[in-house]
Order: sequence, then structure tokens, then C-alpha cells
Amino acid sequence: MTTDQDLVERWKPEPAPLLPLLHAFHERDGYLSEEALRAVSKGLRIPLADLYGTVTFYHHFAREPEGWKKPRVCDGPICKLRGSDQLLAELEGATPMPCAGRCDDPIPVLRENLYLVGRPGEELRDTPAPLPAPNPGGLEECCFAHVRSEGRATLAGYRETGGYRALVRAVQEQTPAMVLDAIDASGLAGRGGAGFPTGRKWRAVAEAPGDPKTIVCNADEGEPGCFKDRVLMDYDPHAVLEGMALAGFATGAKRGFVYLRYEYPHTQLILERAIAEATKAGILGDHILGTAFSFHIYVRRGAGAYICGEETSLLNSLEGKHPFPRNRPPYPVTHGFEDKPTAVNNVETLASVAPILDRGADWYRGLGEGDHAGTKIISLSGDVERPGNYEVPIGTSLRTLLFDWAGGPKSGREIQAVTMAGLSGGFIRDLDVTLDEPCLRGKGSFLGAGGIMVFDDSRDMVDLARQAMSFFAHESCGKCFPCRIGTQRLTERLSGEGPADAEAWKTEVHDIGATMGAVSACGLGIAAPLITESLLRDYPEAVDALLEARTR
Amino acid sequence: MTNTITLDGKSVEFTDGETIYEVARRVSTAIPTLCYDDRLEAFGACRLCVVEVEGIRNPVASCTTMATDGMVVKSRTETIEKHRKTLMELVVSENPKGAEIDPLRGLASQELAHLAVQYEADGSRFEGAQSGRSRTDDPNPMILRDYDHCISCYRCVRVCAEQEGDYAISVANRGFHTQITTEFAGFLENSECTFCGQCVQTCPTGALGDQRALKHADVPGPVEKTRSICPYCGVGCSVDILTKGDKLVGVQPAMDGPANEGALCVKGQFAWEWVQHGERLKTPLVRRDGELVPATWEEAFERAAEGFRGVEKRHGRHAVYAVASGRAPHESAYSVQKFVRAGFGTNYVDNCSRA
Repeated sequence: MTTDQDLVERWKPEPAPLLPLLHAFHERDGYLSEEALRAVSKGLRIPLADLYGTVTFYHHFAREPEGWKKPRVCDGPICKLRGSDQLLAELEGATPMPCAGRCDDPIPVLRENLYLVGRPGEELRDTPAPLPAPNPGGLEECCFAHVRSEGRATLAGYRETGGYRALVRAVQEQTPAMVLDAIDASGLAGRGGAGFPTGRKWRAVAEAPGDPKTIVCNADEGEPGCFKDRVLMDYDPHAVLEGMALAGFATGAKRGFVYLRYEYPHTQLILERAIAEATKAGILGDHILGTAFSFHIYVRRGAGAYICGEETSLLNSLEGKHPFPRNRPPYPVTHGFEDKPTAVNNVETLASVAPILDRGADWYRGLGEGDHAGTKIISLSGDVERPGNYEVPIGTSLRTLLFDWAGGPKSGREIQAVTMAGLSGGFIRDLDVTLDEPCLRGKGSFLGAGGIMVFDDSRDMVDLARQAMSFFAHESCGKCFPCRIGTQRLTERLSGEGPADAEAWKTEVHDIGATMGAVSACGLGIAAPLITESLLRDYPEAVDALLEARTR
Repeated sequence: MTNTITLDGKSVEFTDGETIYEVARRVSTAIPTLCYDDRLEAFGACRLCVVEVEGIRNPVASCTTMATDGMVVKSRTETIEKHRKTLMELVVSENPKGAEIDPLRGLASQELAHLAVQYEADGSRFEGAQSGRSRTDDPNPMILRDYDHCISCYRCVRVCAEQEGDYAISVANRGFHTQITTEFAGFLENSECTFCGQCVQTCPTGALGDQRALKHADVPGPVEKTRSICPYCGVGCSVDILTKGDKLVGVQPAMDGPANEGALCVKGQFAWEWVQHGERLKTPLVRRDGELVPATWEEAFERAAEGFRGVEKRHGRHAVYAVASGRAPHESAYSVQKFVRAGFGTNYVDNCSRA
């Protein structure tokens, strides 16, 4: 058996060693024992109390023997509709986990490093995630243009349609400024939810003093109802790697990390295989294609914490610190990984980079609807005929996506609500919106990472809201007061607790939401009350029914 | 060129690196906080210190936001006060017993109670589950770990790391289930804790309490504070001696103490019970017929001198060896070496601090 010392020696010299070292112990022993934590504490010189606190922050680290072997069953909103409670009861020792990103083919079950799919009453199966359907609108795509091609995940398959052409040209013929200009001109903005212009972010990193600079690919796709990054990484990993290398070239960064959510163990293997292949071919690593540019990519796996999708929590997590969000400013572009300039970009953003550079900024801009630039992948799930990932022009009407592309609701049903930004954008009742930030923000919501869950008229809106708030409470990091207490109080109220008087109940829910939305320290606490706000605003009859049922 | 911000309509100068909160405090603009301790890195958790800054949509935490030239800040608008009240009501909803906290628990222990009164947060709103699990099982006789009252501001964790450098405690779990913990949720005595008590003194709710002082909670009368210097070593930490009537009931570090800035060690913080101990020596004792009996200072000095002289006579000058106490100030330490060198002619002199 590998000794503690072997494991420590294996990881200690690596960048960002804590998470992989903890995973090594977790997998060797089947849990994180006291002895393991003592060895890690000593090996990496992290105070033991700090390490203990940090480990307990992540919900996927088992701290009881055999814990790693026990199945974790997704009980996200969609899986709940598909019988996750029953599956949980059927599987011995199973515990629930928040949305694990397979809403298009539920129900994901994680056991050790296997990502399985289960249905109540059936055997668990190990099948790859569904590919996106061919574009139902017959439209040109950016990220998904080649994702359906056989063998796309291999280097040869990727290069068949011009893969790595943009990187080769950049390092051999272009300057970083040319790449920055092209990305600026394309109008590409962060596809992870915040929508910050990618060109501006990269320019800020390029101009910031400090070395070494770092590119972080945020693959901690934790938002319930989002499963687009998984499909990109699983079927087109080289597109993500090429985007990272181009980001490195443009900003002067020599290394990159993929921060991958715990729930995608198979994706880690795919990414590592792709990195090895590209490195062997001289496309990644030292002196790429014989030029002066070097770029190394490391995969780091999270351990179960939604907040680590927030970029400053993610950076703390990578650094082995307690994953509370950091206070901003300063921003990661100047003070990121290990306090050095860092660009943190979503998987989809990075996957868009090579096609943009290859085909031109104008081409990309033109993919959007009207004045909107580019495309967005929407993860659509729930009560529609054809759930799945769809790459839509930004500005597409929601009705087109729901009815023309995805086949509308199940027969005899009507759509009662859709969520936006996974859960973070709250519920939308009025389907006459277009999928772009100006329109959605005008409606008190936002597109975010592009998860849309559909609920038909058979669903209990208050219970859906309660599940959503309970998720936010589960994932609240516990740093800022409004979110830590507010998510808890809102969950209690959506469960029927709180003042007996209906008006007092509504005032409490509204007051908590208003303060959370205004003064929380990060996006989680700011966005969470969109759930209750949209519920009170658009589904007053459901709220009244809950409040009346309590008095009976 | 001067840097100025407009704070509540008034122009105020600032120096680079000052936060809005620091500027406001300097000009006596009161901004409420619970997670703030000016010795620690600003944390931005309680959000009570939020202020409105022109041009920024949401209020910002003044403790973590640097003042920049031309910034227009409003510290007390109706909206801001409404958020503060809601925040206080939320905090009180899970810590409703703040008003019952004995001030003997610690220096900052009344902060929550005071703000609750100020914002009329009486626990009537946002009723619900309460977080924090007290560790009444921890057998240590000094630090009370009454986490029912914990509001998760982490001042204890931060003071332990940033000021004391012990890293004895940390935050376990997430969200509403966060809990202050040692490694593996054990007792303080099995952790890196040195019982300096700084966590106790920075705790704004009394969730951490001084158990030695609390023994005197039932002594009637108000607590008086008398500024003094810790007698234990030569550092000269400023302390406030807490008394009720003529009874010593506790010691608290002085935040403005030039030598310690609010820090103490286990001795200065917790080892004061000997002052009122029943067996404490009140007169010199000398041995007569093998029994220790009270004596006058005169007699005691003579007996001591006799003893020293006898040793010197029988065994020579190098048979005398003096160890000065670490508690001795410079002047006394000087006297000891003078006494040994000039009195006996030997250099056999040392100080226990060297050990």
C-alpha cells in the first residue's frame, strides 16, 4: 500500500497540492481519517485545526470509514421529480447530494469514482452523458459546431476540423495584443453567469504587474439545472484546453488550472488524457511548437461545495484555504491565485475562444440575434418533451426554445414556471422573454450560467421554492450574516413556519430578501431571494394556499 | 494633493489605504459592526457597516472598502438603517438571550446586546432554529465555550490566528451549521490553545466567557475597572483590574495598552485568584523549632542574611547563586545582580526567563 509519506511526497511539489492530496488519502482509505489529516497537516504545513475546518466545509469528503464507497444520489429539483427519494430508499447507505449535473438523463448516482445513472427499480448503469441534439433551428453554432463528431475528444479528432489552428497561429504569427483585440471585438462575455467581457478581463490580467500569472478554468458547474460544461469537457476537451492556452498566450500566464467539480470524476480522466495527448504533441507544455511560449495545465478536483463556483471561493479552495469568498476589490485580475494576476473563466467561455479566433470576431458577433453578440448554451430540463443542451443565439425567444426546439410541455400540460440561471434567477411565469441579460434583468431575473428548468402545472410552486431555498441554505458558506441566517429563515418560512399572520409572514419574507439581495457579500446571497421574490410576485395564489393551509 | 471623501455631506480627508470605516471612525461617525476588531484584517461578514456610495448600486461594507478620492458616502440613510435593523433582527432571532450575558464574560461581550437595544431587535421577528452547540463538556477551567450565543463572526478564530499565531481553532461546516471548533472537535486542552484568552475578550456576544471571572457573577454591585500593569513579567502589559466593591473579580486586557494592544498570556489573563486565596502569605515566615511561624520583616531579613553569610563562610563565595524572577522589572533585576556581585563577589547570577 502507498504510505502516507509517498502520497505527501507525490503532491507536495505540485502547485495547488491540498485538494489532490486529500483526494489521494480519501481514495486510498475510503475516508479521511484523523491520521490522514495529521499527515497532510504536517506534510503541507497547514495548522491542523484549519485543515479540519476546511475539510468539513466540503460535503463529499467522507470522515467515517467506508464513507467514500456509499452511493450519493442526486436530489436536485429535476431528479426529485424523477423519483430520487425512492432511489435513495432503494440503495443501501445512500445519502442525497445536491444537483450533480445530469438533469437531461436523471438520476446521477456517485459511488467512489463512478458516475452512474439510476432509476427507481432499475439497475444502475454506467453510460456516457447524452450528446446535444442537432441544432433544432438549423442554426450555425460556436461551441457545439463539432461536438457531435465521432472521436472529437481525441487530438486527431479535434484537429480534423481545424482544432488547435488558432493556437498554432497565435504562437507562431500573432502577438498577445492581436488576440486580445479579437476577443474584445467579438463581444464574448463570461458564460458562467456574471457576463463580464472576456477581452477586458484578459487585458486587465495582461497589464497587471506580478508573476506568475494564472488562468483558471471554472469547471465547478454546481448550479442546479446546469450541465453544459460537462458535455463540453466530455466531448470536446481540447476546445477547452486550447481556449486556456490562448488565454495564457494573451495574458502572459504560463500555467492554468481546471477546477473541476467533484461530481464529474470521469471528466477528470478525459481532461487528463487530453492534456497528456496535447503535451506529447508539443501543443501544451514547455516551448509550445518550438516557440518561447510555455503553458502547463493542471486539473484540480473540488470536493463538494457550490460556493467554490464563486471565483474567489474557488481561488481560496485551490490555494488550500477555507473556501470563504474573498472581499473585493482587489479582484482576481490583479490579486488572484496566490495573490498574483489571474483570469478565471467559465468552461463555455474558454471553449468559445478558439472558434472566435479561427473564424473571426465578426463571425461570432453575427451568431447572436439582432444586436446581441454570440451564442449561449442553455441546459434545459424538467417538464419538456426534449430536455438537453441547446446552443441558442443570444436574444432568442424563450418560447422558440421551449416549444419549437424542445417540443413544449408533456401533452395535456401547461408550463407553469421556468427557472433562470439554474435556480439563481428565480422563477419566470411570463414566457414572453428573450434569452439575453437586458431582457431578463428587466424582469427581475438573469440568464446566468444558462440553466432553465421547466415545471408544468402539476407542480407545487411553494415546494419547488422551498427546495431551492433549502439548496441555497445547504450551500451558504456561513461567512456573511444575511445569507447564513437569511437562507435558513426563508427555508423555514417556505416550509410553513414563521408568523401565523399572513401579512406578517409576507413582510418577513420580503424584508429578509431585500436585505440579502442588497448587502450579502457574494452572488449566492444576493441571488437566492430571487426565488422568494418571484414566488411572491408571480405565484401569489400558491403562497396564499400555503398560508391558508397552515391555519386549518 | 489631498485625498478627500464626502461623508454624510461633510468633506473629510483621508490617507491612502484607509477604509471608509476607518475614516468614519476617525471623525466620530458611528457605524455599527459585529465582526470588526481593529487589530484584525477586515472580514466583511456582519454587513452591519454597509454604507451607500454614490455610483455603486448596492451598499458596500465600509470595513473592506478603501476610501478613494472624491467618493461620496452616506453612512446612515433610511435604507441603510432598515437593512441594519433587519440584520440585527436576524442575528437576535437566533441569539435571543443577549441581554442576559454577564459583562464578566469578556471585554466585548455586550456588543450584541447594545446593538440589539439600539436597533430595537427584541427577538419578535424571524423566529426559527438556532445555531451553535455549546461545549459545556470542555473541562478546561478558564474558557467557557457557550456557542449557543455564537453569531459566527469568527473574531475568535481570527484573533487566534492573526494575533496569537496559535491556529488552535477554526470554523467547521458551512452556512447555518458553522461551528467554532478545534481539530476533530476536541477539547481546548488537547489543541494548540495556550489559553491566552484573546478569543474570550474579542467575542461580541459572550459565547466565549472568562470562567474565573464568572465565579464572581453573583457578587453584588457594579463592576469597576482600574487600569494597572500585569505583574507577571517585564513586558508590562496594560490590564484593567475588575472589582466589585473590594473584591477582585477579573482581569481584562487594555486594548490601548502600548505594550500589549489587547493581548495577554494565560498568566496575566487567568492567574489572579491567588490574590484573594485563603492560604496566601501575608507576613514573612521564619522557622522556629522546625515550624514556620509569622515574623516581622526585620527578623526575616536578619535570618536570611545570617543564612547567606553562613553559606559563604562554610563553602566560599561561589556557593551563592541567584536566579531573578521573570516577574522582576529591570530595576529589581539590576538589584539582584548587584546584590550577588557586590555582596558576595561572584558572577553566579541568572534569570528564570532564560530557561
